Amino acid sequence: MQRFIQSLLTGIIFTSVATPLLAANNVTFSKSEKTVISAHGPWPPKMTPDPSNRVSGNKSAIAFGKELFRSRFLSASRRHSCVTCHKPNRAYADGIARSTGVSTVDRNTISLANLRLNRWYGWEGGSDNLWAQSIRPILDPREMNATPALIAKRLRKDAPFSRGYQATFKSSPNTHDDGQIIVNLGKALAAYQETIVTPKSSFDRFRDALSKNDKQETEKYPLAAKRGLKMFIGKGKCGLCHQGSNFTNGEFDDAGIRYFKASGGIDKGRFAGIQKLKKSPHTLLGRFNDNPRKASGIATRHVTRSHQTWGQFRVPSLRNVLNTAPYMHDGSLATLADVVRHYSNLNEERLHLDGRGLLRRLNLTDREIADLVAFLETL
Amino acid sequence: MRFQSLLLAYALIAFYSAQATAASECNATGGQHNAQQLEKGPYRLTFRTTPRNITVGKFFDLTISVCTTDQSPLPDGLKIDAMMPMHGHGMNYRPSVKHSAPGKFQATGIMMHMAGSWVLRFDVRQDDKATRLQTKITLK
Repeated sequence: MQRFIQSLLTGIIFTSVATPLLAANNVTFSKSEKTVISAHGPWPPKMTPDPSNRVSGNKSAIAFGKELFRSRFLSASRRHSCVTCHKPNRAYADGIARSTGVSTVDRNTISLANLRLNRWYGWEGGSDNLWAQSIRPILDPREMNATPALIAKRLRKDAPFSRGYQATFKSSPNTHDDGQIIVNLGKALAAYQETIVTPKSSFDRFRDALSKNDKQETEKYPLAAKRGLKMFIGKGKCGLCHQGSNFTNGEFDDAGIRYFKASGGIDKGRFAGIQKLKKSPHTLLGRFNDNPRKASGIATRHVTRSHQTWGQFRVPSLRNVLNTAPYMHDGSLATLADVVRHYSNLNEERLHLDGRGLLRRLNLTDREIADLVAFLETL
Repeated sequence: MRFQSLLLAYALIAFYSAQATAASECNATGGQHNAQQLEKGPYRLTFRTTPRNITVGKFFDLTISVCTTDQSPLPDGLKIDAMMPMHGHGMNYRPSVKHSAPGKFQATGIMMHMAGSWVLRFDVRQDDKATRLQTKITLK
């Protein structure tokens, strides 16, 4: 009888200790969670040529764009190139909080991968297409400080670049005006940047295996990443904005980061971006869009500047996020753990909530923070 | 005087036939694929989406018919908006609405940028009076 009671007690103690341990070592996903996870793929998606850019996907344009991207030809002083801030060995970002061209800018350099999937470009979405966004730093006095006239004059005199232009656009730069030339150079740069696509990640392999119910393959995905994924799509509600295969809804929100620029003044974010967009001659509604129907301009036609857009910034893609530090529009958060901690301890009073209930303090434990980071690192 | 009476008669015929057409079409559209019908006050509103299914982050159009269940006049305007009540925000885009014929409206530029529960609102306007008809839409 005594032996029986001892066995029973041992069994109860073992069960009470081992069950949580087993649970911690085995993360399962419900049917609805599997559906949400599946929606973060497949990867890579089919990338179609940009209808607003007649040389999108064109081999000559890609080669010419790559040359331009790496050359200092596009900066007024010939001291800067696209690579100055978009370094291929740093996921086409630069690893510093705020980049310096002619002078230091107010925002962090965005990684250039998977750009064909964007609806808007830049932290404020001041461009609705990649070729316009490619022109912007060339003409920005703080970055490359050039003018269309300077670049056109330089191009007409430069034999190798002039040949590249002619091979791509089937016309000599001597037959195009300055405005047309700067747009065409933007289109060649865009054609090249569209080819920068991140490969299948550890998460993608897990997502594919989960869809096929391939247990052997799903077990290869780290346990902490599984727990982090569960939180990403559940308690964290991160997937509301970071949705789909590119882990972004392509829109803008206020993430509670300071609005004050290091250089002084206030960064209005999306509010200013829409204003710039509406004034730009280089949008999908303008004459430089090569798609005669201008159908791709629907977002530009209907986007509206409201007080809600004040201080909003791009919801960035999380693909390859491990390699694109520092984070947020001003590069103020150094590590992924800092970003997760920011949302965990969110200062709701700093947000322009205006009755909005999307972002709330998550109050995560250290273990939960580590799990979320482990998941993000697999993207 | 005879000419004026004739003109008045034509105007009355045109008005009542427009009402009758709108009313009959309004009832008929209820049977169309993916059409939804809403009713409030004197208004019966039928709408359908193009493409048929609404997808998060994709623009869609709405084809809308409004008729009245009594002798009230047809609306002279329509405003469309959508909200996420749980999050307290609306859409990032302002739809444009074209009044194509009596009781007929075509809306473009509508996009719901987040998964979850949305409320699609139709503000039917007659003179200065607006009547709101709305429906819930859940996007996954």
